[in-house]
Amino acid sequence: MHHEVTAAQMLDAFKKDAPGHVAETRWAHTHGLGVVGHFVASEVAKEFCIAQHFQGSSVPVTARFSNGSSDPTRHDERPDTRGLAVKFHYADAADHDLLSMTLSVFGAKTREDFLGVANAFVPRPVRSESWLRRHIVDPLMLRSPPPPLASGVTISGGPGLAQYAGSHQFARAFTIEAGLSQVPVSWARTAYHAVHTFVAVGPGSERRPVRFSWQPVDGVFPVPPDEIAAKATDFLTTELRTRLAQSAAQFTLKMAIGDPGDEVDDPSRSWPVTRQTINMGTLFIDQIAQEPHLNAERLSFNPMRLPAGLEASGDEILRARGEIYQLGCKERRGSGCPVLSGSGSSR
Amino acid sequence: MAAPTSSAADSESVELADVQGNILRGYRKSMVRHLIAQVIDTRQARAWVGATVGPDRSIAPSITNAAHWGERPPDVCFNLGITFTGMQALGVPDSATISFPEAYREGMAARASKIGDWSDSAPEHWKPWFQASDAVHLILTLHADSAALLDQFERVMMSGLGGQAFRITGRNEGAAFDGDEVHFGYRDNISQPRFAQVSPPGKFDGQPSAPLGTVLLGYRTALEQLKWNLPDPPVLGFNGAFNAFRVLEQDVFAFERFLDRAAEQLLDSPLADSLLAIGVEQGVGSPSKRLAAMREVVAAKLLGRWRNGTPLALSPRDPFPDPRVSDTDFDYVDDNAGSNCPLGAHIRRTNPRGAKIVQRVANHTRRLVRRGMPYGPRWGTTPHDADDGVERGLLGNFICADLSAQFEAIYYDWINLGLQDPRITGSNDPLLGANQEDASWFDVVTSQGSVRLRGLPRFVRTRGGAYTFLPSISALRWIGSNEKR
Amino acid sequence: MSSVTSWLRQLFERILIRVWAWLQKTPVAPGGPRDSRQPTDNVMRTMNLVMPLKDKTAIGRAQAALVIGSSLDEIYSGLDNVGTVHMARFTIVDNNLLMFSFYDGDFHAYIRDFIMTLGNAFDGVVGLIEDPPPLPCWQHVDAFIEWVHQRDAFQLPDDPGTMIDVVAPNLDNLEDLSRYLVLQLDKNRNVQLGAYRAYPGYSVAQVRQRLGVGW
Repeated sequence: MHHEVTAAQMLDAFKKDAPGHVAETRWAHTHGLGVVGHFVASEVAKEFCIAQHFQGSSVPVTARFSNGSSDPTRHDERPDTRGLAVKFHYADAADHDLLSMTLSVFGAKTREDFLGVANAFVPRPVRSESWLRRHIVDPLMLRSPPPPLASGVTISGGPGLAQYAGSHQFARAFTIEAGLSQVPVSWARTAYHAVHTFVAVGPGSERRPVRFSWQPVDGVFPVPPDEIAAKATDFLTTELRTRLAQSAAQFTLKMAIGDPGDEVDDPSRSWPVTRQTINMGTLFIDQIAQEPHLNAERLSFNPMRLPAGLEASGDEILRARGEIYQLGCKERRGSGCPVLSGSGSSR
Repeated sequence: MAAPTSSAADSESVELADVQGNILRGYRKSMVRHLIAQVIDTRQARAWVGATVGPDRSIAPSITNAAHWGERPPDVCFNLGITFTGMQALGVPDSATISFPEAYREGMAARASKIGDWSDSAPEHWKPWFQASDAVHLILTLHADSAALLDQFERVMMSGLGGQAFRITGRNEGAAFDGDEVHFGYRDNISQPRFAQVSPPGKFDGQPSAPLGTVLLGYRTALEQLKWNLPDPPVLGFNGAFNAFRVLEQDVFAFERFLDRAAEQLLDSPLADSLLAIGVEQGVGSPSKRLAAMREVVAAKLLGRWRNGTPLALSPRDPFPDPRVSDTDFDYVDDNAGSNCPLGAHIRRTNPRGAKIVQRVANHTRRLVRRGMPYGPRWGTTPHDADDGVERGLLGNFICADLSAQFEAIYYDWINLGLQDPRITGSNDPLLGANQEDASWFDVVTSQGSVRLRGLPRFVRTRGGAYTFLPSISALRWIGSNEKR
Repeated sequence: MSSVTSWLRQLFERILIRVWAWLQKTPVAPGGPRDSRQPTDNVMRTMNLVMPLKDKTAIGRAQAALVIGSSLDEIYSGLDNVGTVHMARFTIVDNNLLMFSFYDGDFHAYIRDFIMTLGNAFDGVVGLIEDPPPLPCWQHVDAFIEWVHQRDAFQLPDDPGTMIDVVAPNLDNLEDLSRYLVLQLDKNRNVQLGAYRAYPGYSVAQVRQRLGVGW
C-alpha cells in the first residue's frame, strides 16, 4: 500500500501554482466579494433530504462570490473559473457550507492525480506559437487553436495543463471546460456546480447519491468579446452592488440524483443530463456583506462542513479538500477553521 | 392487449420428425451434458453434420427429433446447436447467412449490454470457452439418465469422424437433484407455451395455446400475421429455432440470507399478519415457525409461486391450498394492484399473461420455451450451511423464433428497467436482474399497505453462453450436403 | 469576390478532409443512444431518423406530405399502443423526411412494436425513400429495424469526457480533438448535439400515471 498523499503535500503542490501570493489571502479564489441573503426550500425538498435548510422555512446565508485565479492582481475581465461559496446559518446547529464553481468537474479523482495536475498547472512563461505553426501547420492538421490567453498574460499554467490532459484521461473534461471559460456580465449570471457527490438522507432513511448546482434565474450571459476590453478589473463587484441595489439576485438549487452504477466517487466525470433532477429551492442574494460585522475575506468555507442529512460520498478529493481548506484557513488565520464534527459533517 | 388468434394458428400442422427434439416438448432425462466445440476441418465437419441426419450410424450419432418415441425413448438424446460463426466455419455461404437476424450474427458476447451481462456477468469473466464471440461454433447437447451413458456416447462420437471434424473446448454438465427442483429451492419447468400440435388434449388448461411461430421459423407467430423471415434457401431456416444458451451461476447463500433479512423486515411491519397464512399469524405460531413461514412468503413474492410451485395468483397466502389449485391455469387480470402476485415478481415480469402492461401489443408475443437443468451440488447438504464457495446454478436454454423480439426484449425492458408497469419502472427482476445492493428495491403490496424491500444483491451471475440456431433435420442435411462452395 | 474566396476555401477544406480521411482511418460511430445500464439513461432516449426522399422535387415532398398527412391517425394510434413513446415529430427538411422522437427502453422493441401496430401505413412512406428496406415493412421486421438503425443519427455525448471516449479513443493531444471530430462528422453526416429534458428520468407510463391521465 503506497503511503498516502497528505493534505499538506497537496497544499504545497497547489502553492506552486500561485506565484506572488500575498500572506493571509486564499491560495485560490483569491479575490471575491461577500454577500448575505437567504435560502427558501421548495415544497418537495424535504421529501428528499432531512437537512434543516430543506425543511421549508427561510434560512439566512452568508456567501462569497469569487474569481478562481490566484493572481494577486485582480482581473475580473479575464476568462476565469468563478466560485460561489454559500454558508447556511442554522438556528440551533452548526453552519453548513456548500462550495461550487463554474466548472462541473475537477481535474483528478485521486490525491496522486491531483499532484500531477497541480504540477502541470505551474505557471510558466508562455511561448507564443510561430506564425507558421498557427496559420499553416495547425489548420492543415485540422487542429483547433488553444484557447487564447487574455491580453497582457505572459505566464500561465494553461498550456502545461492542456498538454498534461492530452495523455491523462481524468484531466480532460476539466481542461476542456476550463478552456471554454468566459467572462460573465455578472457573478449572478452564470451557473455554479458543487461537483462532488453527497449522500442525501431522506425522511424514510433512504440514501441517495446527489450532486448540486446553482442555476441563475436570470440566465447565463457572457460578456460579448468586443466589450471585454472596456471592462474594469473589478467590474464584477461594481456590477453586483448596482444589481443588488435594485433587487435580489436569485439562483435555483438543482439536485441531480445518481443512478445505480454511476461513478459517485469520481469528481472528474460529470453525470449525464438524463439523471432525475429535483428543484430543491431558491437562493436570494439580498445585499453586499457589511464590514466589519461580516468579513467574508476572513471567513472560512469548507466542503466537508455538512449538516445532519447530508454526508460525504467516498470521493477522495472531497475529503482531501476538507483537510486542505482547514490547513489553508489556519495558515491565513481565518475564522471558523475547524470543521465541527457534529452529526453528519466531516465523515 | 393482443391475444393470439388461436384457431388459425392451431390448424397449422408441423412435421415433428423434421424438428429437433426438446424444443416443442421437453425430455425427461435427469442429466445433461453440453459440449462446446470448435470446427477444426470444414469439410469433415460438414460431412459429420450431414451424417447425424443420415442413415449410417458408424459415422456419426443420430440427432434426436421431436417425433413421438413410441415404446422406448433413446438412451441418449442428442441435439446440435450452431452459432453464426459456426455456420461460417461449416462453409455455409454468405448469401445464406447474411439474412440471419442481427442478434444471432453478433453473438451473445457482443450483445452483453442488452441482456445485463456487465460487471461480474461481463463476458471477460465468463468461462474461457465462451469468451470471444467467435469462440463457440457448435453446442452438442446430450441428455441421458446416467453419466456412464453420456461418457460412452461421447467416446464413440469422438473416436469417429467427430474427432477429426471438431474439437471440444469445454463442457457444461448438469443433473437434476430432486424432480424439477432447482437451486433457490423452487420447482421449475411448470409453465411452458403449449402448442396445439404437440400436447395431448389432457395437458391443456384455460390459458391460450401458443402458435408454433413462437419458437419455430416458418409459422404464424403471436404477432398478428407476422412470420419471421426465412434465410435463403428457406430449407436452412424452416422448422428451426434460436436458442440463447446460458450458464447462470446462482448465489444460494446470499439468497437464503436475503430471505432471513426480508422476512424479519416484513414481520416487523404492519403487513405481517395479512401476508402470513391462517394459523401462523400473531399469537398463534411460535417465533421460529413464523420466521420460517415469512421466509417462504418472501421467496414466493420474489418469484410469483410458492417454492412448491403453487401460483400466488391462485393462492396468495397458502402454499398448500385445499382444494388444490391448478399450477398453470391462472392470470393476473383481477390483480391489478399486485397484492396477490407482485407486479415485479419474476414470473409476472417475464410472462405478464393478460395483465395490463405498457407495451399493449406485447402480452403474448415475448414468450419463450425454457429447458433448464441445475448444475453443481445442492446447497445446504453440508453441516455448516455456510457459503461453501462451490459453484452451482442453472444451465438454461431459452428457445424462441427471434432472439431480439423475445429473449432480448424481455431482458432489456422487463427484467431490467421494469418498463412494463410504472410502479416497477427503475427496478430490476429480484432473482435474475442486474441488481446493485445499494440501489435495488422490490415492493410487497397488500390491501393493508406496501413495504419496500431493499438491498437485493445480484443473485444470478452469467458465466457463459451463446446464441445458437437449432436447425431442422432437413436443414442439417442441407448444411452437410452442399459441396458447391 | 468574397463568395468566390468562400467557395475556394470550402473546396480546399473538402480536399483536406479527404486526405485526412485516407491518412487516419475512422470507424463510423453507430447511431442512436448508447446502450446503458443506468435506468434514467433508458427512458426519454432520443431517435433522430433521417430518411432522404427519392424524388427531390416539390412533387416528391408533396407526395411525402400527403402520405404522412393522410395516415396521421394511424400513426398516432400506433405510437400510443407502443406505449413507450413520449413524443414523435414528422418534419420534412430540404429533401429529407425526419422522424424525431423521445422513447423508453429497447430501441429494437420500439421499432418492432411500432411497425407491427402500423400495419401497412408505413409502407406508403418508406416507398418514397431512397434505398428502401424490403417491403412490406411489417413482414420483414428484422431488416426494417436494421434499416432504421442505420438512419438514426449519431449522438454526440454531452460531456467532454465521454465525447472523447466515443470520438477519439486514442487521443494524446487535446489539440487533435477537432480533427477526430471533423473526421467522425465526415463519416456521420447527421449528428444530434444535445437533448434537453425538463423532467428527466421518467417513463411514459410514469408521467401519465402521476399526472392522473391513465396509462
